[in-house]
Amino acid sequence: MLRVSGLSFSYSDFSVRDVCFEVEEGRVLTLLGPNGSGKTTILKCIYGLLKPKRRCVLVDGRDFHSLPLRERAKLAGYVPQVHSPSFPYTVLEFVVMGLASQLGVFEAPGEEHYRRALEKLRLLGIEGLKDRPYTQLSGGQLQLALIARALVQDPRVLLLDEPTAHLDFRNQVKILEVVRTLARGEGVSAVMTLHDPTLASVYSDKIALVRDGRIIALGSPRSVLRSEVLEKVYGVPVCTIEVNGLRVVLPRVASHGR
Amino acid sequence: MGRLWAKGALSTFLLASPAFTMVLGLLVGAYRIPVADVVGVVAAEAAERLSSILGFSFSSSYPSVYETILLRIRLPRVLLAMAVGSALAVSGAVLQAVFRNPLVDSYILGISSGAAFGVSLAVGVFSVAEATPFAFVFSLLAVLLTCSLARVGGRVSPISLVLAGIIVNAFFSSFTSLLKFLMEHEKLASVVYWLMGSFANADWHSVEVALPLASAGCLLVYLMRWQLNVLSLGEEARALGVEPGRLRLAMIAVVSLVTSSSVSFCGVIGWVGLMIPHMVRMAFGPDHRLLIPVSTAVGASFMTLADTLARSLASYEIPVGVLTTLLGVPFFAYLLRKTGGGWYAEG
Repeated sequence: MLRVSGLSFSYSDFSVRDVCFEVEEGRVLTLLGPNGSGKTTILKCIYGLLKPKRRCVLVDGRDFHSLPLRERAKLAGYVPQVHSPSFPYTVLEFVVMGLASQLGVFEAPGEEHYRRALEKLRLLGIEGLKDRPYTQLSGGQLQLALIARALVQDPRVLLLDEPTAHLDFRNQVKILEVVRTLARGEGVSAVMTLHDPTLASVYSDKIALVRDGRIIALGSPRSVLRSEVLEKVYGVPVCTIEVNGLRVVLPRVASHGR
Repeated sequence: MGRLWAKGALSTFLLASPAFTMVLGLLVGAYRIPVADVVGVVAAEAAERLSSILGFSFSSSYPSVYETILLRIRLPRVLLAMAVGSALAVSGAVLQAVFRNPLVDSYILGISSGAAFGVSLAVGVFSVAEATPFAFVFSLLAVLLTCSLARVGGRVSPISLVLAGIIVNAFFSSFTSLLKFLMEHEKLASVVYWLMGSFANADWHSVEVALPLASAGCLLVYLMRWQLNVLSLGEEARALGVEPGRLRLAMIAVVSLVTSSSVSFCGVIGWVGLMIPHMVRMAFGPDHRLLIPVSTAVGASFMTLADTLARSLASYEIPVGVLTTLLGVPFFAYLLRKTGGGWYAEG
């Protein structure tokens, strides 16, 4: 379980203030909000890639930021928003790097480590790509490889920064299915950032609406995704409809000019 | 499977190649010595040194001319070439990973221009014959300057290091130019010749310094070879629980030390640090677990071959730095045209 209580952080011209939420085991929380609202900053603060003003993150009851980086990597996996490839490692080599925190400076991964990496590739259905250079993967495949790399340590918490960015509809659905399945199946607490309110409504147990570095609404998709709240956050007119008990968010168009 | 086998055979051959190039380097020269005697003399010398350590006596009976030529002239030269070749190739591979940039070698840190300035100072201003200590001190000074200049807010990022390296390179180059301008002609000639790179001044003293340093450096990098894979992810390594900053600095320190010692004994030899790691990556992929050992071996072999050519092609000696560039450029151009740079990231 992940508990964030009173997370604050400031850059020179932007700050995140008093962010609080909890994500139980097997649940998915989505940070939703406009560009520049501080979603990525919050994720980075949770992992400790940015240093929040005070310690405010508990993972399974342990003060997460008091742990050294190596120990943190064993409890939480981080999937970055952008990955700039360097050398064309094979997918398997790339994923096994997720175990770096378990290996000493002079060590190299052994059979057991590769077995664990393969297991995750199989779990995500990309085992067939294991010998391909990861630089030649499509956007969706690369995202899966990045998730596999974050999963290889069997983390309790998974943090995903815009896992659906630049993906087509099919791959967006596929990745979000994977996230939810992982949460349910492996008991992982997942926190992700998304841009599409409807996808967030379908795939999240909880949504936190973020604006100007603060959470202004937190709760189930149905309670958070209300048109008056969304209009305040995004500054555009929207309407919501219900389909199969799920909230769908649409832009409200002034007139369908014919 | 066939391809895997071929790769295995090729890597084994390349890893063993320094033994062959060493014999070749000892064999070729103005004075002809039969192969059997070449191997015999060197083996006997090795046995003799070993026996004096282990405390039994061993003496060989080869003509003293052979011993003089092989042990005093050719062997130290070959060993120095091997040490320098390995050092430059491994340094290039390391920095390409650290900077996530296939176009850097250890000279990007300001090492070559620092060394050049040191030599110009030694020859032109202080008129000392032994320029090596000057080159060594100033190349390390240049690296320190680069690293401290690149340090912003307590952290050294790859891009700021490259930029700082350019600044430091320009700084020392301008002073070197000024010194060269003010120098007398004979001195200028010797500085220019030094800058082209040569193993002509190789002796046991230089081998005793450069070889242990290069070996220790290569060994350390070899031991940390898998970490280089992780380091090549850049800042993202932190998301995997690895703080890249300190590891990066450790790597840069090792590289600076081995490159500076090489450069100060034999001048600026270009292209090896850039070319060898690329060639190895082309053949075996980017995994540093194979890249580092194979680059070490190929660097040693290539430099030995280049130096052997440099002293046997013509009746006078061709500067080896000129030769490595002459050999390297067409090959590199061929690889670029053929693969479009596809062995690095996506093509």
